[in-house]
Amino acid sequence: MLGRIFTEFFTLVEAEFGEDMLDDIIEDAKLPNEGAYTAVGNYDDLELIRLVMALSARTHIAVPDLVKTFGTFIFERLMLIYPKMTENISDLFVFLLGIDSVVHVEVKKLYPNASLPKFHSSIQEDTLIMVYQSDKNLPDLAEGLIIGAGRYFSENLMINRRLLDDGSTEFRITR
Amino acid sequence: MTTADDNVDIKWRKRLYRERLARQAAEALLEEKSRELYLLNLDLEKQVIQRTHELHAALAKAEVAVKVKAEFLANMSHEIRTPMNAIIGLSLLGMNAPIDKQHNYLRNIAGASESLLAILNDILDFSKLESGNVQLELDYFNLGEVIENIAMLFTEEVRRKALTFTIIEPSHLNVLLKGDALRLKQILINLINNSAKFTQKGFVKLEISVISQHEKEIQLQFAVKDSGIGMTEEQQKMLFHSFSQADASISRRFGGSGLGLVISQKFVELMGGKITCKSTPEVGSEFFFTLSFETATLGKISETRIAHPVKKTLAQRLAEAAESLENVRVLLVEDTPLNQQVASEFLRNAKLEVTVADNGQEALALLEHNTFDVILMDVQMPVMDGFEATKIIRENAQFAELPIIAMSAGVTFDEQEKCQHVGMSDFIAKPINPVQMLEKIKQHFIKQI
Repeated sequence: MLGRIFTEFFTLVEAEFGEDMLDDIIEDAKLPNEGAYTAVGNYDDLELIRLVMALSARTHIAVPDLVKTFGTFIFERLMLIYPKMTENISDLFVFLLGIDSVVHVEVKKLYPNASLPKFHSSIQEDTLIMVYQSDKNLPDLAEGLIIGAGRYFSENLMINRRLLDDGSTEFRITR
Repeated sequence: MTTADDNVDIKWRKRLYRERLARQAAEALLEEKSRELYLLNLDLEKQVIQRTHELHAALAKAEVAVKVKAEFLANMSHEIRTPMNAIIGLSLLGMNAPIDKQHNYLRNIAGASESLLAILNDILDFSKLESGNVQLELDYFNLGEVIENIAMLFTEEVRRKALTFTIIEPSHLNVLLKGDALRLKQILINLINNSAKFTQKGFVKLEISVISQHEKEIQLQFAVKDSGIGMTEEQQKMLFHSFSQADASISRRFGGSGLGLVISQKFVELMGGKITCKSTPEVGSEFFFTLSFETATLGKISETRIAHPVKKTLAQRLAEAAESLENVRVLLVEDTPLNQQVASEFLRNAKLEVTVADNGQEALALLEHNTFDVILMDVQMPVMDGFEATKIIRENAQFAELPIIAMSAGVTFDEQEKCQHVGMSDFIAKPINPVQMLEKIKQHFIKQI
């Protein structure tokens, strides 16, 4: 998992729950590097999961909800840090259709070793269908990111989510 | 006991420590990336140098190839112009000469034309060999017949210089060999011509000996020896390398395309052998190669013989070829007036009946109301070419067996194959050899009856 995700997670925890909460969950999660993450590093996915579980235990908020919230938050942050990702794109569906071919290509330039999810996207009438597939299998994060994208483009979205037989997740998005 | 202040202090220390660790990790990563970049850059530079080097090498090679081609062209142009000069000059002289002298001019024009044709054939063979477009014909043949053929064909030079020409062949060779007899003959004639060219007096000898013989295989050595001017070792090294003769000035003295040996060598290589040369200046040269052949049985015994350099005159050979062709009806389809004249006069002189069509369409019209025994068909013609015309003629069941012989200046394998494909019976290359033309007409005419 990219270090950027960890540092952004810390920013969210500090902003929403305070610096002490961050200290506490770092301690609870028993991390190998004592929670010293740099955005340009690469870390074990499990460490993030342990952090989220620690946060869930302390805040009594369910893990999927936390992850979704984090996804929504991180989208806004990423657009601030990498404004190029949305350059010349004014339509949400166009942006979402180009996740694999535009956004992930840019990510690979910075982090050649990043393992990124795959989206098979298509449009049926007014519905955008995105099938999410990832080794990390974090559909909640994906959903949060889609919500974040909707907010970024100031659109109200209806998102229907369904688990497919092969373990991938299908999102049907209408606006 | 710790105070609240102490607690805050510890918290801040922890956070500071965490930040420091993260910064150090980031710096380490940065250094690592820099190093990777540096190494990558180094590798790229190396690659650029190597590629540049490769490009230079390829360029140099291409330049050499272009130069070789240009030299080849210049050389061939020279070789072609030499007999052309004779042909044009003698024609002009002949036009203004008294009749009794004209025959001599014409004979020399014919000779120069033959040289020109030989050079063109060499160039064609050479370029086919260069592009790997040569296929050997693998058929059973009688070595004795090949040798007889060579003895018959005896070269102008051997006769003119009164050299002794000897053929020594193995006795009791009672088998047929599997291979390309025509190409083998070409190689041997090339070598013999070559020897004859560089030999002023004495002998030229073709010696064929059995190296080993098993039930279904035989290994033969072919050697052509002469008592000519010979070559130094340096000259020998040059022999098969380029299409030049041992030295450039030699071609001025001795003529020829300078391709004969290279062509022979390539053919021998295709057959699985290699021509080797032994030579001593002022004593003579020997060219030899060994080939293996599959064999089939045949009861024929041959023996050493001295070739008799008797050559029939053209008139004699024409008369022989024309036998029993009297009044055979030929439809000549040919668009060029001069070529019409050449072919039809040869045919009429041999007492055949000739009707001329200017193109395929005219030929079709003539076929509707006339009967012909043989069609001689040019390939490239305006209005309707020979391929198209042949296809249409063959569609009519009435003409399914009518001999159609292609007559074309396109002598590539492809063109011959296309002729066969559209249903032509045979192929004659231009320039027309009248004896060959008559023989082919006879062959197909007889087959038809």
